[in-house]
Amino acid sequence: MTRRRVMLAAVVALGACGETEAPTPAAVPAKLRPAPAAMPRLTRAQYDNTVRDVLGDDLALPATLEPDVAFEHLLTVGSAVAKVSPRGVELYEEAARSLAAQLAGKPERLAKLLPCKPTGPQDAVCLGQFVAHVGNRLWRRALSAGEVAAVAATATKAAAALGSFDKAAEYALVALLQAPGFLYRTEHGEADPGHAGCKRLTATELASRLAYFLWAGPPDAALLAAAADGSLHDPKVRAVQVERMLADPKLRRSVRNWAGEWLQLHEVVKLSKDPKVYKHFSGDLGASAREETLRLVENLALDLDTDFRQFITTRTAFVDRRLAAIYEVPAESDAGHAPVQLPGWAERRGYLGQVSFLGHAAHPVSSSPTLRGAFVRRFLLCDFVPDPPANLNTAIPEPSPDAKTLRQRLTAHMNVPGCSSCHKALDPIGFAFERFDGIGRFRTLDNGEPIDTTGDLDGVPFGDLDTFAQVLAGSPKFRRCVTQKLYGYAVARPTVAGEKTQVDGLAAAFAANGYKVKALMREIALSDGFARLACTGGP
Amino acid sequence: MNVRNLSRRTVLRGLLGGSAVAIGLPALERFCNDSGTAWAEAGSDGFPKRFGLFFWGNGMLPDRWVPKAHGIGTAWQLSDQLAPLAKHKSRIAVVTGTRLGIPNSQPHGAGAAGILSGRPLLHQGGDTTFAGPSIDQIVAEVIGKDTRFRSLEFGAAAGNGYSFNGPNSHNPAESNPFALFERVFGAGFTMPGEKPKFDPTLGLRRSVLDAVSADLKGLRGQVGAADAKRLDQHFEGVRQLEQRLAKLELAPPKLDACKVPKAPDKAYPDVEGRPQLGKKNQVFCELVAYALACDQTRVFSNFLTMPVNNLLFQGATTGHHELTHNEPGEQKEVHAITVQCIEMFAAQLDALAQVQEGAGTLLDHCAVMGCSEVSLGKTHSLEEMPLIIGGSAGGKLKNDLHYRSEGGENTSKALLTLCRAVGCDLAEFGAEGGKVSDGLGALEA
Repeated sequence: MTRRRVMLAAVVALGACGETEAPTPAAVPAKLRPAPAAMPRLTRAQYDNTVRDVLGDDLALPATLEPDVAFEHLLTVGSAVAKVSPRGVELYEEAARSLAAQLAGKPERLAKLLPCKPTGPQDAVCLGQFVAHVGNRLWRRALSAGEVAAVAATATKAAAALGSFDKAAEYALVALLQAPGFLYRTEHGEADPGHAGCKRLTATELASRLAYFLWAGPPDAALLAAAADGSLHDPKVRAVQVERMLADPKLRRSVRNWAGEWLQLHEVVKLSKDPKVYKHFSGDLGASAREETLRLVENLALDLDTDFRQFITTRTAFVDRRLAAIYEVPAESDAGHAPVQLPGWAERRGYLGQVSFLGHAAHPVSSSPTLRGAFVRRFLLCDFVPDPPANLNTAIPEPSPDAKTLRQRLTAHMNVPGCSSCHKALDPIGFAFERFDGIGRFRTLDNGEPIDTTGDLDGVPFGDLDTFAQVLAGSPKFRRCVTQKLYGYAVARPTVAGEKTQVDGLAAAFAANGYKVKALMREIALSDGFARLACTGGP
Repeated sequence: MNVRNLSRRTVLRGLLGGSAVAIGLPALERFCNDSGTAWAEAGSDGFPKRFGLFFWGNGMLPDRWVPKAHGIGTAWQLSDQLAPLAKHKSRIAVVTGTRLGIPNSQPHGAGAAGILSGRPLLHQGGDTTFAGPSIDQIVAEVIGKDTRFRSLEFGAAAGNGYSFNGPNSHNPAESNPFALFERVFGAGFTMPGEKPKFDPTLGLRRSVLDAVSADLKGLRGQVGAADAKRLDQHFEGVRQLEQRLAKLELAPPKLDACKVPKAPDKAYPDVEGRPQLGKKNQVFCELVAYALACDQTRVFSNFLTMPVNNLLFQGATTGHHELTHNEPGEQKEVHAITVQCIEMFAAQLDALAQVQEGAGTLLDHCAVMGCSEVSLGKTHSLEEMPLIIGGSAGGKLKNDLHYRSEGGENTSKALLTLCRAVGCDLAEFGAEGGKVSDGLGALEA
């Protein structure tokens, strides 16, 4: 794979960490050169939301489907390369049969999905209408007459074999839910009248991309209608639809889904600490920490619709009893997460003061400036951090009279040739958090010694988490990284080099709009790169 | 029916309604040759050959792993870490001294891709996946064609496991024994020798899959080359499922060894923070032994634990991965955990050996590859890889053997030998530094 070679070469040749992943092209493109069409496979979240939105939110969803794939550290981007394995096919079939059977078992629910009243088991007209109607929602596009007929053919066999219209409807659903029209978000595109030689998404494809971006689910009837008559290509209509979607409660679902992918919250859920070292650990701490992070994102991005740099700098924490004990603040609520203000004198603040960062980017028995530094570089600055060299003993020196604290021990390790280049790019960032132990509790001493939390972020000095948060939140790289993470999530495929100007422009708009996430989502949804496809000659 | 005369091309043509094979052959075609020799051949005693994988994470301690002497029979004795296999010494081969030829580009991840696929780990977009199919799927492509399940993937702490059909195509493993029991012995199971109950839904399900295949074929013509490959993979899975559903309507021939095992518990919760690995593994091992004996599948993967797992094993003071890096000195705790993993491998061999098949046991007709993704966990070493082979694949492999590779041969050679022993007539195995075209002759009977 060319890409892999490039990355390996970069690691070997530079031996350096913290380089921006995308190699700077020789000539920075002045204009957007859009990406080619993609064919994302529904992520697990999108699958579930599509089923819920179209068929009902009380269905028991499948326990297992083929796992999502990460690319650029985002599952939605990985959906553009995810395949379906033989076991994946079985699981999709099982899921389709289970969902369809659940609906067929509830005649009143099935009736709600029917656009007509069947006159008998063999009512072909009503069956065809049902397939066209539900198919349109599940596949996010109108089915051709041939497609309706193909699904109806199986359903008719079911009616004959099993003797009821409900069974016909059940097998129509079994077919619709296994079809590529459901499982893939196909984007073929059409000639772009505004850009000769280029393509753009069709109005229907644009509706789908908008819906999975802003709602993490399928387009609703209104959006499909705007697509069906082609009016969605009109910038004014697109803007009106986007406004409507941004005001819909389903936006929250997508913001949570995005934040979860971005900050690896599916890994945070699995948080595991040695309970002998950390008595505050329990098996459900990861889930609690995940929810805290999501609540903060929702609060800033949606409830307050305010400057998202506060994600890093805020003194508001959303804690339940478990987290309150770790943060040493009173729990405001017996049930679930509630906001509390962290005291002004405390160093803890923002996401970087949360268990989902401090505990996740750490070892089961200790903190880890290296893991924390790498996490900040990878996920908050979008720097490329190579994996550690695998064939070295990565154990850091044991405490000694000369090196008592973890920082002192790591500093000794940093002088080992072969270790230094990476550790020098990672550890100085991670030292900012050393007054928080491996689960995120505040401490002033490490192994009996005072802790030194000073360092610098790419040359800008900081003294502790408090000042580090200011430096990071003000960094143009942080702003661009958030923009890139949201853009990748929006387009659901790897970002290509020709989109650099697009992402740069969006990052600038993010700042100009007061760092509001909702405004950034609007800018992305209305951007050229979101709706255009590659021109002849490639991206 | 003589399946050997029915080539893959014929099957495809049939499925596509006689149209020209415009879709090309699915990506999986390349796993094995298409000459007909690729079809699974029964051993000389008439029992089919089976392939098993038993994988545990985080490696071992080479100093206590490698048996001191090498050779056959009395020439060698089990090491400290292999001691739990005493009962099976005459039924195993231990291979030491081999190395993975692939770059160690990511701790644990590279080794897992190397030992299971013979290929370097594929780095893409800051994340990783396997660059090609894992050995269980390579084998299943050939010997998994005739059974109800092409392969079964499971494990007491398997997570998603590491069974891949190629990049970004992952067969997720089952971690719940009850779910595996239901899948194999629940609805759809017919006792060999009995007539299947008429199930009107089978035909309907196939009819649905027909329509899905047609849709996939139609879509394939409208997408770029990379996406077309993804659809080929999907198409192949649908085709296989259709074939398996068709078989459910046939009466399976009687098998003396087949019986339905006891249903497992619905859950095996952690006890005082420790997973019940041994108990869960025991249940899985027995389940899969009967899945093989009843010829529901011929390929299985038991992912006991995953690389980098930090599970709290019985008797350990902290998590496994943590200990491999930070336990000082001779790493007694890591040793004890490795021994537990090998005990659980022994449980897998026990379960297979307890099933009588003809004059021998099910284990005799298996080749079970026991391995981990590194040797010494502390350094993520890909030298001196741990590899144990249980069973003789119907007499094709030598047993009671310690083969010591003095020159540090490529581990892929052993994998190629294993594939060939169970009936997969490959010209080569692996890619780049993991690619080999010769097996390890010393393992062959």
